[in-house]
Amino acid sequence: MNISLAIIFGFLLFSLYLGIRARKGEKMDLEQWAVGGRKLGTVFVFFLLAGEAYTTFTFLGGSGFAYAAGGPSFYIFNAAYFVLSYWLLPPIWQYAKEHKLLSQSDFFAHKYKSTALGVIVAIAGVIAMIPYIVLQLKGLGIIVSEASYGAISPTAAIWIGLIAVTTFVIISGLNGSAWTAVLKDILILIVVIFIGTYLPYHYYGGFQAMFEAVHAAKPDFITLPDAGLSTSWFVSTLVLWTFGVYMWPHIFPTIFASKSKKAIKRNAIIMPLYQIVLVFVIFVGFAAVLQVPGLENTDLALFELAKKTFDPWFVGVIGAAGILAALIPSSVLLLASATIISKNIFKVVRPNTSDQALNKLTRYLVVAVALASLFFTFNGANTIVTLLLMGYSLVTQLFPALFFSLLKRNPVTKQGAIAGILTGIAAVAYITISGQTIGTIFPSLPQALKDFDVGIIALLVNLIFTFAVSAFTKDKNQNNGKVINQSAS
Amino acid sequence: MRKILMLLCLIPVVGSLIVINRVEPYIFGMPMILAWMVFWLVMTSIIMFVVYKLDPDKEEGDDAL
Repeated sequence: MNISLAIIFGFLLFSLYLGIRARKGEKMDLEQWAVGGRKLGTVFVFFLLAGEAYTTFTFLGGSGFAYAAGGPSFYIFNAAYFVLSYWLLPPIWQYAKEHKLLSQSDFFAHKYKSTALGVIVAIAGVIAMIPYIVLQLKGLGIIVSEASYGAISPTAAIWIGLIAVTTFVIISGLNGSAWTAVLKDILILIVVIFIGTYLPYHYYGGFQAMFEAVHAAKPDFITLPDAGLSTSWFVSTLVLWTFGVYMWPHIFPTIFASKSKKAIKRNAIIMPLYQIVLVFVIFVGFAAVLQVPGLENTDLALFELAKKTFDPWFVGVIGAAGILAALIPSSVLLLASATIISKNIFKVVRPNTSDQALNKLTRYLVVAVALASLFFTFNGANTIVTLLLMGYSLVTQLFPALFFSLLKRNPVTKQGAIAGILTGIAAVAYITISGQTIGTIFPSLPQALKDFDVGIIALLVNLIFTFAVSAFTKDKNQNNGKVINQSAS
Repeated sequence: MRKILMLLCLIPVVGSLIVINRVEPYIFGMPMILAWMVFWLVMTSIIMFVVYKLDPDKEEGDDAL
């Protein structure tokens, strides 16, 4: 066993210990398990939400995207969604607390008084989340095999990591994720700031010198290109991202777990500052451009450069940070998927299931979802990237129905919400699978419009159907309000 | 007032369209386009802080943990 591997395992065991210890003798009913008993304060909510900002996707993908594409990678600095979170999340939290909701699907089902909508949202959510878990696991495999200098195969690494995370999720629920998230973020913060500063100075003598060197070697690399990943792509992606990011089903338990609205609002203030740390991830990517050129798998940029530069023990520390960046988001994803399948799909089909049985079933489902993700990790090679892209656009389709449900007079009916979400999802599936862009659908548009993120089309389809169907079903709903109320719940 | 402040946070999104797609000048060692994005992270945080201070719907009690 080499030194870097020992360090990686040390951190893995420590996070397992923290995750299990987080149970603290609490009685683990579903509410305690799924949303931490709604007792988390600003700090834990911060680490859980921040965990979303630092997944393997940022760690490997952020530096890899900077390495491969340059300027367009700056889209990861999007502060607008924190502004949205300040308004959007407190009313969601309030409503969830009043009605004891545990999942995103609960929220839609309850707000629109429609179990059908709840099930649709649940299924869409699970379909979107599994590729997300798979992506984390694939990242984990890359990180461990790179950081252990090939001593451990990606397959073995993925098994070990997944067993660890499944264990603490089953035992401690969301509290386990919250505690390990603290360890993870401290470690990542130290590692990312250090290597993001050290590498530019070591190889180029400074940040500006590094960018000047890259600029001299590749003149158009740092700015956005005129076509393709152009400014209109950049802006439309920022906008779509803003709508989509809080629609991921696993974000909801974190919101519900918060002790107060205050914790959520304070996070809207701190999170943008925390995003600045991502600058150092970008620096690493740019440092790699001239130092390890020509990588086929651009996601390896960070590790290739690190291995070229540092001693094995420090590569181990980077590896440990990378593993935690994969495992903590995975734990929240596993927890959210299991809760949704048991409470929002199984319980709907079999309404007589007792709380105790449901509680037990949810834990088994954690294992089931973990195994399903493993299957796709090892068998779904390339389709998974397509699925993830689709997942992101998929959850974005939930935004209109959610947004309008928060207004005092909701203009959208349950039929409208269902129609909008379903047509939006159909549009996403068609666009993703057929590989369409706005340019191929509407070839006569000017270039600036062609470069718009194609997700905008699906969102437009969604909005049109939402409002058209709502207009037709409005009166009927008002007349039958009572009947609808009874048939729901 | 608070709404106007929030709208300010959209400037980076719109601004990136027009002015800042360029490398020079360097600011704190970062090319213009990157510096702009980072500058607005800081500004968003400051603006959100002010919005929070002006927020009438503030709850009592501290709950850091």
